[in-house]
Amino acid sequence: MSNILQQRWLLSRRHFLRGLGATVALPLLDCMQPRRSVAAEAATKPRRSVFVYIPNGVNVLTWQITKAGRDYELSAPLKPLEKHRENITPISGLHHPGGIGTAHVCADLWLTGAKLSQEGGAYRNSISCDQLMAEVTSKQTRFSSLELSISAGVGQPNNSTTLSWSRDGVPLPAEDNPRTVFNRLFGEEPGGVDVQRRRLNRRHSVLDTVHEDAKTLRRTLGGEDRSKLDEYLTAVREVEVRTERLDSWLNVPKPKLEPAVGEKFQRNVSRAQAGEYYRTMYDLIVLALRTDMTRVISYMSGSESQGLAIPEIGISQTRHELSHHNGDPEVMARLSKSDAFITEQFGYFLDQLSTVRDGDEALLDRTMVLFGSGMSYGHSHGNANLPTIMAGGRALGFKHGQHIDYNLPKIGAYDVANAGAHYNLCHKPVNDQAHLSNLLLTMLQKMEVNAEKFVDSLGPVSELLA
Amino acid sequence: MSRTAQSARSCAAILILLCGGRAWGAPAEAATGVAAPWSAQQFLEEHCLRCHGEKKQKGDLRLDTLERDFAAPLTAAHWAEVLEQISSGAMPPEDEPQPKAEEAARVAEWIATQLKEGEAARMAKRERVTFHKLTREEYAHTIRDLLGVNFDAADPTGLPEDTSWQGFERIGSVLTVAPAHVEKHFAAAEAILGEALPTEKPKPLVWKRGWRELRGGSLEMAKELGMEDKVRVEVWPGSSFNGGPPGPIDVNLPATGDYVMRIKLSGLKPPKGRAPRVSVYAMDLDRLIWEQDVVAPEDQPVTLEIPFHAPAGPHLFRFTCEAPGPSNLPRAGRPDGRRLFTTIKESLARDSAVGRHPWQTKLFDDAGVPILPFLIVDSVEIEGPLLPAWPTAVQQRLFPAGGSGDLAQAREIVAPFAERAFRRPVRTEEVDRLLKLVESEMKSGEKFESAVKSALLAVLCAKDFLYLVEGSMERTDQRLTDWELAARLSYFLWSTMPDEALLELARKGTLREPAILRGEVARMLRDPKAARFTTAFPRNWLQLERVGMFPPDKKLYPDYNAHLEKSMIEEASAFFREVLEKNGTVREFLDSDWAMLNARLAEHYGLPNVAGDALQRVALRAEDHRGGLLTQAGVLSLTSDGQRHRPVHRGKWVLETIFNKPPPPPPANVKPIEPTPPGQPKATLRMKLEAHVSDANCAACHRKIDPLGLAFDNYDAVGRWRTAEKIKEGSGEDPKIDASGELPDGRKFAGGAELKRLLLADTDKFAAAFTEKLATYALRRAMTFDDRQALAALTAQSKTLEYRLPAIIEGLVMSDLFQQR
Repeated sequence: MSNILQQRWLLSRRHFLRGLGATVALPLLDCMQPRRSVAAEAATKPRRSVFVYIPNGVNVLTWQITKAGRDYELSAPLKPLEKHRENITPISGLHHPGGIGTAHVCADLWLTGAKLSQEGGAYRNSISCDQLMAEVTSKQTRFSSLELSISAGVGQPNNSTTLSWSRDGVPLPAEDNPRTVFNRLFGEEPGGVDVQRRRLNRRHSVLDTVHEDAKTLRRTLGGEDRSKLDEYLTAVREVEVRTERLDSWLNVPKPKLEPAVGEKFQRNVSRAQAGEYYRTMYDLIVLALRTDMTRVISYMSGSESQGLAIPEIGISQTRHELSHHNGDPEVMARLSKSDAFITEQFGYFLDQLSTVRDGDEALLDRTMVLFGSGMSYGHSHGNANLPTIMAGGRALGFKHGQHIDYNLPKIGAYDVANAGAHYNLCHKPVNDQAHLSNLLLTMLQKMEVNAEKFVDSLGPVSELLA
Repeated sequence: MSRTAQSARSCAAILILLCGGRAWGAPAEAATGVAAPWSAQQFLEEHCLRCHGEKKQKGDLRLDTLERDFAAPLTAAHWAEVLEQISSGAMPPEDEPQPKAEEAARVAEWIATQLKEGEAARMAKRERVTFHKLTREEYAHTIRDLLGVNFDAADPTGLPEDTSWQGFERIGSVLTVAPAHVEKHFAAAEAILGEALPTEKPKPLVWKRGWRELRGGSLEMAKELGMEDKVRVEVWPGSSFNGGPPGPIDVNLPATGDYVMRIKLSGLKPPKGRAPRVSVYAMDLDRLIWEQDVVAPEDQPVTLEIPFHAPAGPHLFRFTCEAPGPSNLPRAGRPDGRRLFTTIKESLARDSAVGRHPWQTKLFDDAGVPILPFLIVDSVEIEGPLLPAWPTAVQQRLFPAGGSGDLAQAREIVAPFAERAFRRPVRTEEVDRLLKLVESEMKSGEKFESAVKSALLAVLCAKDFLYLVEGSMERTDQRLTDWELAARLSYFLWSTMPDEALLELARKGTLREPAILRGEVARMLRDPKAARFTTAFPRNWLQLERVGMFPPDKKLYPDYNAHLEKSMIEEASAFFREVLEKNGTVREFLDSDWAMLNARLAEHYGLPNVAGDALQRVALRAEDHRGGLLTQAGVLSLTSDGQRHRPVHRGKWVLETIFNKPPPPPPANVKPIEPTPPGQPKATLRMKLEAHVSDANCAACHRKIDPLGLAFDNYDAVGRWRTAEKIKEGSGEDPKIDASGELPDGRKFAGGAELKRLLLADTDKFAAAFTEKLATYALRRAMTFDDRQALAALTAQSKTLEYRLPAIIEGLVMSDLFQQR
């Protein structure tokens, strides 16, 4: 049983997918290079990013890994990730300066780093890092990005159900139903290809008319310097090119999946079966990546007001309720159990990414996965020392196998027995240079986004770079 | 110092590498470009050329042959570096004889002026055909006049913000168009045409919420008490609806369009306090859709009719009672959901299930007189989309019943639409091109109306719609056509396209006849649309966008709120409008014995009570310390940093706004102001700025800047009057304000009032600066050296008319400056 993903990504491809006991056969595809692509671009392999969010923080006393460096020991909730040790890097001490003291708004800004008003002032978010990545990868994939969540839509300001924001600060609606997502990715175009094509044709025709009109004038102007007219012409032409690109995707048939693969996603998985629900969503993500439908995915596995209860292990409270434990040891124990369960499902995700091969590499090697929360100590809404794990991307230049800790150089040692002290450092950042945006910038640069800075970043996380 | 010099050398070296101009190593020829005044020439010879001239070129810099073409970007960059070196004192180096501070300042000022001039020249460069993009506000107004559709340009789903230059948002050379703009304009046009020419009639919304949804609470309990239909929602100061199921104002609008929200409520005002103020904020649109004070007895509720425009889809509105009140935290004495409110009398009569808990803060006393401002709401209702006609007016106009449905009819629709949109007659080939689009759309299977809509879409994305286009390759003379003149005039005074009357005059070719043109200006200034001019021009000229940019600290300025900020900005506009409408002179901008105030501003200024939220003219006494623009709260606070006032920034603002002479930029390495150590006596900011006075290098520029700001030290960061400066650090009493100063020409003043009088004595200078600002706004470009004579002539002419504002505007429109490219 060989999993083959052909190396030549753009010019022609034919690939077979085995692994879910199913075959995916893609017909030979025509060239679908963007108009101004460089030949070299055609030969590059894909770079991917996935963002997975855990709501309401964690039980910081049990989650905290106490030793830094290569010979660290995974804490109890994180033990399911032991076999992936060489592919992960837990990081302690990060924070968003704009997120300190924000309570649940931390989810809204996890990928944007913005400073959002909670006092009734204007709520204007800024672009999330995944959308910056999508701007680059969208030239190669049918879907520029995928937003998945526990709840469909965008939620509300300060209670978001999406992690992704566009350039103008508009939240991008997420989807929560595996069946809907599967059908959107692999099913017929809504309204059919013809409707989509008509829409794009119309847009193209209108822009063409507009462009012709301006070009006619431009010809008579002769050899003028770069002028406003040129600026306008260039902008119109660029939008035409984008429209053409979208249209050319309509020519490309979607991959045909064997019925068994599709069936799995057509079932209605109840959220009461948390494990199966998470695993189905993770399978969907893997499928989307291996068929190259998209290379940028954000998955809000729980929103701040809706983090699944897990009846199958006896936890009937949502994560929000668990996180406000008030020091009750029984509730805290349940929170740890919930943390461990979520991590276990994440481990399953890494299993899948490791198993699927892309040539001689695992899918995981060219996929960066950020797993974490915008809150650490949920009970009193601490937003420092954020639980964060970076996984994958080794073929992109990441080196793993260590615990990066920004607190220890300052505090010497952790003392999780002294709850108050540990909670303090989950409220007030120990190292004010340890910005989460540094990590996001590192990912952005690996995705070949041309950025020296992201929001308040101070530079990439060099410890991650090989 | 040497570090700066070193970096200067390497900086200059890099510049030179990039340059490659003929100034370096070339035989000594006279530098071309602007002639330096003799003093600057002498300065260069005496202090610079020894090391940067023919014999030596230290740091590879040679100044005697450095071109004086300040409009060329690279040359300007070299000179900017020279300016930095001189004004920071880095050059000449310490071991060389130093120039007198005033000489150095004079040269620095000369260079700075040339740089400003060069920048303006670059920006105002006009090609054969110029394209000045409409601002997003102008786009929205134009759409309304063209298609009757309200477009929300400032929403997140609207258009990007316009880049501003020196406060002006409409400078053609500064506004750029990127692919994102084109996409947004396309999307906007699609939405607009979808609303003007809908394909199907939208289903009307039926939406009403009562107490159950607005505040939650037990229906059973209310039934038991027999007051199911009597419960009303009391909204405390500072509170919003907290809601029960399904939620407060959470609505799904069926279609993009105009809606009306009706709120039935009462508002109770304590005898000596503020009125409760309603605010309705659309959270996902980040837009305040309504704000007003509501005072209505509880047995005579009023119904607010709130019109708004919104896109289809889910929206969340936050309804708040904006008034200062006790803490917002649940346990601080505010009610919980269990107590139901019906009437004040009822609440006082029983203490069972209605009324307040014993430990709750009192909203009203035992006699039922309100202690805090609060609202009592009955219901919220939303109706829409509002369709004054079906089919819509635009549909009826463009697609009347019984049309042939062919290309001939298409031409009859598209050609006049394009003419109105392009603000000029259309050429046959333009219409042909649009009809080709209609034809191809119909061939692709689109119905007639849809195909024509595509052509209209192309019109709304065309350069001739999005830009004000002036000139053509065929014409060589500089005069505007009547069409171009009409457009320039209507976007100047109305921020929108010309109306039928203007277009008719342009069509007849009589617009530029002096009597007719004068008549049009007068008519346009009287039209309600002139309100856009009286809002936008002061906003640009006075840089009012900066008001509230650094939000005043809530602890230091607890009374500062959104209502005050809005009133501050409106004050400046209302003042400007009053001067215009009453045929006032520009002298009133410097000082006046009247002001435009509402209750909120009167409270802020400590003036006798003015009633109501509308701004009204109020006479001032000398002891009110207000009058003119310079002591308005908006102007005084826009230079603050949220913590304290900034006198140097205030001085800079006066130089920019009143004299149009921005000071040269400060050198890069100025030390920040030190806080006073605790043992030391408290020091005012003025005392801390004493380096600006004692250090000759600093003083050279700052003696022209600081006095103009320090004169207003009696007004704090948010513009309130004070006689002592509140200082936190240091010991002792708060020191008394010293607002005295001296102008560069030696005239002294004791404070703001006297400074205003001195400025009035210089009205000519102010009038000249004002005219230039007005011209910048009207012509949408920077004024340059070439415009100097024209501007001077305008100012002289308006002086004979006592500098009356309508006369200045009319004079500008009648001038060649306005009527030519």
